[in-house]
Amino acid sequence: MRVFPEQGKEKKQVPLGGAVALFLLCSLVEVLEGKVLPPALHVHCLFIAVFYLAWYTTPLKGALAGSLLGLVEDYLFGFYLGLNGLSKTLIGFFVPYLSRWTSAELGSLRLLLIAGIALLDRGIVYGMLYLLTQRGPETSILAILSSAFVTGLAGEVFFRLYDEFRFPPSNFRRL
Amino acid sequence: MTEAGRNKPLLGLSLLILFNLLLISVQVRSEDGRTLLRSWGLMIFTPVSGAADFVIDGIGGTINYFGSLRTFHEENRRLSEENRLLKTELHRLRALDRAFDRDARFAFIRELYAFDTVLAGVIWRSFPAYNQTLVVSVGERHGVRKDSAVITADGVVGRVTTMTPLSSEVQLLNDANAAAAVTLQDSRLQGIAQGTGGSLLVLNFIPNTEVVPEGELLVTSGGDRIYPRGLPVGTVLSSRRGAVYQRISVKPAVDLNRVEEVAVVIGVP
Repeated sequence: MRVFPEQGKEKKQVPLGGAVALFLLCSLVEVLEGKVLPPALHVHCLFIAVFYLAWYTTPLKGALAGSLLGLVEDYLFGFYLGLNGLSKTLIGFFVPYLSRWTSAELGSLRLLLIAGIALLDRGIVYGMLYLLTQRGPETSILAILSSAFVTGLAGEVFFRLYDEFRFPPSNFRRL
Repeated sequence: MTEAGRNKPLLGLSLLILFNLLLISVQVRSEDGRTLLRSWGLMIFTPVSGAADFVIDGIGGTINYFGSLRTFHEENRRLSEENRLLKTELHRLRALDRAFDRDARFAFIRELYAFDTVLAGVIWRSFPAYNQTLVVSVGERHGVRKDSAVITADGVVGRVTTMTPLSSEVQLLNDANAAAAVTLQDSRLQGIAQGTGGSLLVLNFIPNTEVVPEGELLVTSGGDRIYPRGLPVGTVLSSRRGAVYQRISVKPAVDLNRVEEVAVVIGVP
């Protein structure tokens, strides 16, 4: 389905091996950093992975990847199974549209875009916990904002590095 | 692109959201310990079930109403006749009551028939092949005690054997271990009505020399100090001679297989 015209851009498919490697790396880093870093400096690697995979694929595949990685995050961090699955399904579904809509050169604004969506991801998770009248991890709003910014920063660095090695720079330079 | 192809991502998204919501709902529990899925199910299906019942009852009621119109006239005539007889009986009893009031020597008779009851619903019934017991929805907190008599408007049902604060177990009169002291209403012969474990009772200790006509009513005599005096127990179905006493079959006054509401006697003077 193409809701908006492609505007002459070609989609690149993320290779399966690369996706699996990315997923394993992100899971490992996220588990390890959860043990050593304070919540304010927590980088949501699995969120970055979902964002990255969704950026290069279709909404349906993005939602599926988001759902799977979200469930893995729920399992790794002891959330209710499906909580991050739900938030990342939505993120994975809408990010491909975002990749089509944004055609201007954003430069460092990409950092803010990732940070903003990371914040939205946390908002969905905590909103769901509030709706279900359940207590979530005790994290201050400042820590959540800080973590979203750090995630945006890490995502930007990750995108630049990965673009350099795996994809033609033009794929992301369009931002 | 076809319509189906255009809707594919939205359908996929809906399925994934539903899947995740289902996963959450089977884990999260509400304050009363129910899973969210069960709470949602109850929330959704209770009004649906209520609406379906309302519609079905409405349709069924309308059909029954028109179907039973034919019998209304006959029923009305029968009830009018019954009403006339009951009014006559009421006047007679009031006159009797006034007569008792005038003479204190008859006060004990009134006391014999004065008792308080508490109404209860049947909430459980034993498997008939095992024993004949019920559990009713009143218990110690309502004033029920061991051996409290359990009755309906038709007659004796049984007696309370065990209680909890809010429920009681009732041994039915047709239980093989149940018995009640009775009097044959017309002949005033006294005997013991015993359960058989089946649907009938047996009346014991009526000598072979006595004549017991079929259809005669048995009422409680009060001799067992469990059942208040004068409550219907059953009617004589048949009698045959035994070694010393007759063996008399009695049909219980109450259809013990269909009891749904009872009154438990809680205060006998």
